[in-house]
Amino acid sequence: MTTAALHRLTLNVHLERRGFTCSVNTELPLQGITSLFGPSGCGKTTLLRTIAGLNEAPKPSAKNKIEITDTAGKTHTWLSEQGAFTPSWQRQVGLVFQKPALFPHLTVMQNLHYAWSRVPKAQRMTQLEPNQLLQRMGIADFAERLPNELSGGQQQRVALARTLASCPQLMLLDEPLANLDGTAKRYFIQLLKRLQQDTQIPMIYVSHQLDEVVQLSDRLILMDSGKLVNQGVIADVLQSNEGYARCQGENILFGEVVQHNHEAGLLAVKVADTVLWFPQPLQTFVVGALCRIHFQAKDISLATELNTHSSISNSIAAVIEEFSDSGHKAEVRVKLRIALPSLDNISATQESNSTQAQYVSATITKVSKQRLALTVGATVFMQINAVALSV
Amino acid sequence: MSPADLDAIFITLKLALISTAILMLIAMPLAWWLSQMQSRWRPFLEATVALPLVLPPTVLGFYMLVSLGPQGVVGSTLEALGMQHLAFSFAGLVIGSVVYSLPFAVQPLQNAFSQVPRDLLDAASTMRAKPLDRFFNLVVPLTKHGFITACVLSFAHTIGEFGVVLMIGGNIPGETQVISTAIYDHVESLNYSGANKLSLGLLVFSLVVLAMVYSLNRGAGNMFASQGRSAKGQQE
Repeated sequence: MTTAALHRLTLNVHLERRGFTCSVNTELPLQGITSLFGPSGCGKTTLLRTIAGLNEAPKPSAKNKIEITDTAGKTHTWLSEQGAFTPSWQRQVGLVFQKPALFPHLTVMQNLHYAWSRVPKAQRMTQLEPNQLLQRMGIADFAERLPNELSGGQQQRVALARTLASCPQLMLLDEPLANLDGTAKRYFIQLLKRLQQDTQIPMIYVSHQLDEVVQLSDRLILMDSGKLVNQGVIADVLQSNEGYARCQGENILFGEVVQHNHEAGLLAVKVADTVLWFPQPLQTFVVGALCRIHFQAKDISLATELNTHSSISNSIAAVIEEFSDSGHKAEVRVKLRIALPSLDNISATQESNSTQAQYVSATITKVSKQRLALTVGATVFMQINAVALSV
Repeated sequence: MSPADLDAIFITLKLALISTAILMLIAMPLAWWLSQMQSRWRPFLEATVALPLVLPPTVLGFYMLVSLGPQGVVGSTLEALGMQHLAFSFAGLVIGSVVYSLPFAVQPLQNAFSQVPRDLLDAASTMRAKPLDRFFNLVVPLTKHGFITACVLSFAHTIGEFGVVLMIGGNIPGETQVISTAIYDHVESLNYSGANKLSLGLLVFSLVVLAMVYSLNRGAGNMFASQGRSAKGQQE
């Protein structure tokens, strides 16, 4: 890429519309995929359209400023307090909509070329050339078809390809999976992650679907009623009080794929120095790859000693960090720290994720807490019942 | 058919062609502006454009005659600049026709423009397409049927006008006499067979034109259907 990649977005936005106020003041590091998560109608789409420059320029106000800083440290102002406004066609921002929004009179290839032909030569990324994009997204066979001859999932893939073909510096995705079924959704999520890793184009992904968010995001922004609640690295945000309350106690653990057992249909993932076995998912995992394990707080059971007489075979040692309110009077939230691997096990080249302390939250009843006499600082064995794995 | 009749047919066609060309140039930006307008003034502007639909052509013709004539604002200004006033001239006829047929050009275009989904324009905008680029490379190809309807209707309507032409043009054979005013002349002089020839011609012409417009419109609505039923039901 000849233009410097973006790495920080300064957002000071204050919008009022028919009784709804959207007020956000924050600095977002732009790395990987950042999810903007919140209930419907909380202002996610409004914020996204404001970043894209598709909403009308607001009146000059000290409350409104949008700046983007590239990795070279150069700052571009998209909206200034004085009212200077960069229109969307000068922002180099790609947007994937809920509906595919393909141009109905153009074929798939022509749709991609509409985007590609408008990219100045110096900004073109060879890997985003239309023919190559169609190939790797599995839509090369449809190049000469019109959009209305494709299924919903295929149309949305074309829309993603078209947005990429415009070689954006930042990609915005507004619930692109809202109209897709399970299979198309899974395929799209894997594709999106792979494309992000290959192109390194930062993405902001709007969704109110928790399962999409936990599979995709590197960073998470929580929004509610037009306000930003919390933001940061996904695992940290999920373990914050707001994250626990708003994301149904969703947990993410990062582990390393260590072994396949094809006969038993199992996959071994190492978290800290414990190896966990999971049924092999539909998706293929490469040995040595980083993988994320996600599960909900209520799917964890705690034991004070390693219990081999249980149908749940995966057990990890963890230290109780704190107890807090779970939002239900019979239950309590237990924040656990996964015991770090002993130092000599850590190789210098290992991914930082697997060597950093990882936290999870478990929701247990107060009665159980008393019965097991759990206290802060005690070591327990955490058994995970239902999990999902993703790359 | 008399030489005067042939003259009238020629002048009618010339008038319709020139008026349609001018109308398209005016109506295109006007219809786009109206279709994108959020302001509360929009109904008022739309009403102004639609006025020739309900006003008696004589009323329109009368005010046009007054303003284009030697004493009118336009006419006197032209004379002060050393040119001629426009009453009873072909140029005056063109101006009258343009005003009279304006709604027939603006409304089909505005209709077509407002059917272009907002998402498509936004998508193009994020793909670096500037407003004019979006208009000519996206909106125009998507609203082709609107342009054809607008052209055909303005052309046909100009050919069929009578009141405005009579008031401004004054029915001068060879100069401002068109088919409709020629028919009027024939009837005045009790030449019914002459009136019939021209009338029948106009009748058949109008029928053909309207049939064309309706058959065009039948196919036009399908353009954006695929946007609505994007995904539900028809998965891969």
